Amino acid sequence: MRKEESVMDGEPLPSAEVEQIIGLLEILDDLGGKEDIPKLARSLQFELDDLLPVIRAAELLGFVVAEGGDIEITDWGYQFLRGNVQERKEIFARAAMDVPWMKKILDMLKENEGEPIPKEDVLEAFQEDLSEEEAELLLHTAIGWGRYAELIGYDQDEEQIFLPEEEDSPSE
Amino acid sequence: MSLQQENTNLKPKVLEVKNVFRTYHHEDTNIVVLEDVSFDIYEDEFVCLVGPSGCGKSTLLRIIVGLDRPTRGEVLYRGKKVEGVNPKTALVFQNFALIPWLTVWQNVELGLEARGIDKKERERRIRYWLEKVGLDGHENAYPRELSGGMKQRVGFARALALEPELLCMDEPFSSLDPLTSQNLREELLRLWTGKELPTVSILMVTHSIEEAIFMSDRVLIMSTHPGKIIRDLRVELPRPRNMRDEEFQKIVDEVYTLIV
Repeated sequence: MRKEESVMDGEPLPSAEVEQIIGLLEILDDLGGKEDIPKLARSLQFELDDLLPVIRAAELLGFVVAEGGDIEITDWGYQFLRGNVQERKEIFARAAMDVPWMKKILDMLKENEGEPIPKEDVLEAFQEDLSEEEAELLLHTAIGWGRYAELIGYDQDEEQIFLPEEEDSPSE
Repeated sequence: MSLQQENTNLKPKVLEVKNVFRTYHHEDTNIVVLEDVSFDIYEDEFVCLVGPSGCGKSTLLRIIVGLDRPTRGEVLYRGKKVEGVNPKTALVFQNFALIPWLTVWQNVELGLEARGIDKKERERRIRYWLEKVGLDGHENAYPRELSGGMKQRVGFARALALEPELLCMDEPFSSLDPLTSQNLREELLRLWTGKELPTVSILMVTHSIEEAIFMSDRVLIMSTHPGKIIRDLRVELPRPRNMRDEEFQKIVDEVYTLIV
């Protein structure tokens, strides 16, 4: 029985690192923007099992569409790929903000008036839809994406998730 | 012809490796790891050393940065003999070599401290390089929290913060999965071709001919037992290169026929 505010919508876990998502787009770009999924896995000597979460993640972010056995880069995906390091981060942030479980974390932070929240609270919220192990995996992915996109930060010592400060690094 | 064997580079030499031998004693025998290795690296060159495992390419890299000494022969940097760690070089390791109890920021800072750089300048460089390699937002993370790709970004930031003239890399992509390694290769090349690196030349060790042709201007191919350089090839393929196009594959095939 799924709740209205489901973080997963019944999708398989798109647990991919940011680098893998970018790597996938770069390789697809080299192949002309489109490829047959099993063929892609073979040419990368990558198990389909390992490739699918990356494809799911890229799809969730709107960077690719997977249809039938094929995967193709979207215009949004190209825009991301053509950006420099900082532009990529911004595009990624815009895309990740709408991902249900990222949204959930951001909402929880907002409800807490921007103050840090314990990791445990997020895991608990995720476990309304997921097993403990899945929730851990998803949180790991969310922290990785959140840090890259500078949407959320994570303090390992305090086991807390926080909102990064606005532009604390001087731009030259 | 996209592969040339004669060297016509007229730029200043950065590095000269001259008749380098490296032997180790094991029980009663002498093992020759490197035998009479000679080559030069010029300004603006990205050079790859390619060879199977055990050909001594990592040993050679360690001799070049001054972490090891040749048994015979010498290494000159800008015409001067390398004795001890060369401060104009920095090394990126295959297995990242990060200190687990230090944060990303502290890991990058450590090398700068060791070189006696003051606090203000350290901060400036760390901020700058973390941002350049896409690590801003990860300053307070510990290595165990990071993916392999992120760990190697720290490895790059740590090396680049030293602002090395000659950046040396020992199989920097080979412990990463194929998607992650593709991403990091392209990002490094963007910095290199965009002239955003503090570096005038790069020397990278790899076991992959494809990777060497993808990345570099010149490929030095080593044989094993003993390790010596058997080919010195210039790659004229325009950038950005595409590992999956025909032209690229043709050059890969050419190189394979040369070395088999």
